[in-house]
Amino acid sequence: MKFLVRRFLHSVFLLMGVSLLSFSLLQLTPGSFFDEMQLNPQISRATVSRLRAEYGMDRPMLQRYVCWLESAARGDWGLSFAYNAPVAPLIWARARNTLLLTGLALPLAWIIALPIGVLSAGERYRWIDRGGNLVASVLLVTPELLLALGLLWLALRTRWFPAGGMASVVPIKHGAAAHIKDLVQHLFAPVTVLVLGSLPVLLRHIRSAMVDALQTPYIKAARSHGIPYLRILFRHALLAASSPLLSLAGLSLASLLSVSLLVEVIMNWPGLGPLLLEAILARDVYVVVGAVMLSGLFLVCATAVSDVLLFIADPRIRTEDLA
Amino acid sequence: MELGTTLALDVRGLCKTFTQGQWWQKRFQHRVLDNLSLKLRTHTTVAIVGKSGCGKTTLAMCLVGLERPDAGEILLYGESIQFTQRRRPTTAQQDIQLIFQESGGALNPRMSAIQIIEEPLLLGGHYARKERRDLAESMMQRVGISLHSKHRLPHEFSGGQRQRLAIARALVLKPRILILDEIFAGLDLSIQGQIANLLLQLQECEGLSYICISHNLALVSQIAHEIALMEQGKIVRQMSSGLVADYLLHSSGGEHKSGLQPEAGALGAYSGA
Amino acid sequence: MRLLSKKSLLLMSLVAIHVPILFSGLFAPYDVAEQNRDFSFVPPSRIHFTDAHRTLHLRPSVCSLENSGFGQYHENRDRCFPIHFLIMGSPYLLFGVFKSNLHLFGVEAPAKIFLMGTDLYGRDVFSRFLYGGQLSLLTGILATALSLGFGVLFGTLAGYYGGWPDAVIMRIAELFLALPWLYLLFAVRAFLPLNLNAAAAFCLLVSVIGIVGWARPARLVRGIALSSRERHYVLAARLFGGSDSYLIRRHVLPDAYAVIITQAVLLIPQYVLAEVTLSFLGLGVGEPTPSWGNMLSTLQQYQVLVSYWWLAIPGAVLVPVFCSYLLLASELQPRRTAIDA
Repeated sequence: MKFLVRRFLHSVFLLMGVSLLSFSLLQLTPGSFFDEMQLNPQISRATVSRLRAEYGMDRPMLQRYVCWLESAARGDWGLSFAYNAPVAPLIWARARNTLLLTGLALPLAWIIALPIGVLSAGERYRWIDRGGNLVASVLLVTPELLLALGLLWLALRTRWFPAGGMASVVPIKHGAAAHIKDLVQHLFAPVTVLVLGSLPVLLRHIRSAMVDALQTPYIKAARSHGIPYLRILFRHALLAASSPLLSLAGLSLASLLSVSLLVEVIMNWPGLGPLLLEAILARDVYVVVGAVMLSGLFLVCATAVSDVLLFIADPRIRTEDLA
Repeated sequence: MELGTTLALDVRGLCKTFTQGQWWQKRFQHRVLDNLSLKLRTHTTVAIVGKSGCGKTTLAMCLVGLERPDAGEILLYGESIQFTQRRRPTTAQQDIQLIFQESGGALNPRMSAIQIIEEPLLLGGHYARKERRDLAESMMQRVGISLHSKHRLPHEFSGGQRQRLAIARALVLKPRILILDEIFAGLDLSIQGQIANLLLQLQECEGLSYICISHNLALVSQIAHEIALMEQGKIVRQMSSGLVADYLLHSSGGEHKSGLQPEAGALGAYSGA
Repeated sequence: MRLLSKKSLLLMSLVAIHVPILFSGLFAPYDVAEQNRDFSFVPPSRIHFTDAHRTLHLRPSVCSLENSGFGQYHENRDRCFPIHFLIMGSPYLLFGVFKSNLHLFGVEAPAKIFLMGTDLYGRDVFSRFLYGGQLSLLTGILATALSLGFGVLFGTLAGYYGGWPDAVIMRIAELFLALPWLYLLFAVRAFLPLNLNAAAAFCLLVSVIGIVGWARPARLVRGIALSSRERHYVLAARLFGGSDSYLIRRHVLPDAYAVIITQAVLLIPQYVLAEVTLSFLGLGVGEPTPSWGNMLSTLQQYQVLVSYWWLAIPGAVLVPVFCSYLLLASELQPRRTAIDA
């Protein structure tokens, strides 16, 4: 347990650091939401300065940071200027949609990448390896921005699947089944981009981890014992390669979240991406801080999960921990 | 050869403790040098022999100033060496040079042989470019490497030649004491003999004193005048090399022997060296 | 075939990408701001080798366009104008310094040549693409230099000195690595001014992208410095009285060179993409200055995306750019040699 506790404390420390970093950046901000409000002749100076005081923008940075910490502890995460509401519920409504996207794309990408990666390591330089390598290379050099635009173009041209948005504007039928069907149709394009975007990195890592694992003496010994090849690949070698792959799983969420931000904006998916972009353009700083913190929190959770899995999968860490 | 009478190096009560673990963790104190004393006369070779982990290399590091001892004093020709806070040797310590074990890692793989030998001159003295080159070339010839190969990289030399290069580099600043840290490790028997001959020759001409660190008693007793047995951070016994065989035969505790295996082959091979 | 070896192909593709962009004033037939309001969304010009009577000419020509309303254009095959090479046209500054008005190609006045069509304002996409490439690639290269500079500096300090500098620097690096990079980029961008002129926006982009990315190279270099400071030849040089700066310069950094170069080649396309992404989302360099990112941003309108495919060319060109940089990186990948053994 010491291993897990240490990791947990480390991630709490990390999140604190991230929030402190964003607040010190906040201090550098030249303009603010209220400066732009001041330009509006319909709002009096007194109102602006009253609002400024109300939101605590006239106080020094450290004090604001402490205030923000308190509000974070309350579960508000500060106030949004533009929406005049606590940030947390605002972000959470959007974050759910982002999570839906990435939560679907992550396992899907792994389900596709794992067998291809394992087999191409097993059948090195055969057709499956070459084919996988070709696909991975093509996807690697294609930016997700282009993939998303291409899929959008396809959707608009062919009408095979909806182009953007999360739900049809005019609901055709009522009932849960119809809603879910509608949602799945809308999910298709963004999830495809996310999966295709993360495939090449996954494929390469899985392949190289497996190649390393297959070269260990005990795998060679297992082969000489006559254990079926596929069983060696998917049981023994995959288990041996699991440690680097589990840490990769945590990390792959990071790139997925980044790409998701972009895809959401392009495809009008009501996730964190459009919210964050609006907040930046409107200088709604607490929303920005909240969204960034939340992404950090996601990553911390992902690494925590992969750490726990690592703890379960790797007996060496367990014994080290007991000692 | 006539042994010197003055003391080149006098080590008194050297202590060094390593602490493992950060301030928030449980700490382990590891006493590597424990009140160690050692005397080295001029023109003499003292071999320090002991099991691995008894603190031989730490002693060498302390002598040349790469580690700072916690307590104790090192007198170099009667003058005490001051230790600086930083991990930097003082100028006095440039009189003591160290040749590392496993010469492959002791030579920068990106520098040519002549560059490697010139480096100390570049750093330690004020020499003109031409002068540096000449000194380095003559030193290269002294250790028996032909000038044709001066632009080769270390990996193009054999293990023995690399060791020669390391010796040349250590000698180019004209030190008076040379510490040889396991320099015979990983070399063929015949190469070991050649290197040993070279060292003896150099001692004759330059009047060097050697501290030869090894775990192979049989080998070093061929070139050393005195043997110091080291155990758990202490010199347990310092004696003339002629007495070693007797000591090993008659010592009551068997524990020295486990670390110091006289190899029959090695004894035979160097009777002429 | 020596000419078609992998290396020479790679070299040729790198030259083919960078030379026209470097000399964009020479290669571009028009000025970036030149508008032809009557010719908005014109598809790429057709280049003819035959005239109206179907006789073959060596000199290619383009025919004048007529606007038939509702965004439809048709070619007038009777009025063809030959393409001239190395002709005088609108003045420009080469590398921002040398005045010139020489263009590689162009056609005479009434006709226009639009190799990649035009945008909403009838501006030549090809010319804008070249100038935009200058901005995008330069952002990538400068940001890479910046983040490698910081990365190498802090990585070396941390790895070489160890102890508390190492702890402090690496904890800060962890903060930068703890966030998804686009979120981090957005976060830093969010706190900086929005409405800027082109030059200021460019400098801002370079510094934001560069600073956000320092942590990864710093980590890599730290690892190398950490292992190389314990090497015997470094200890030996210290014995001869080598100062810290000498040891770092002569022994520690050369160990990291290969990794630094590979990192640079890998980071440039990544940072070009970062610029494209930010400008695409309206957080980078704004109109009228072209960059690949803001040229693509018109594609966010569905109608443009469906009807005017040629506006996606600045995005499509990212593929060969990425391809050649990644191939270069794999060529440069340090191989196991006798030196490492």
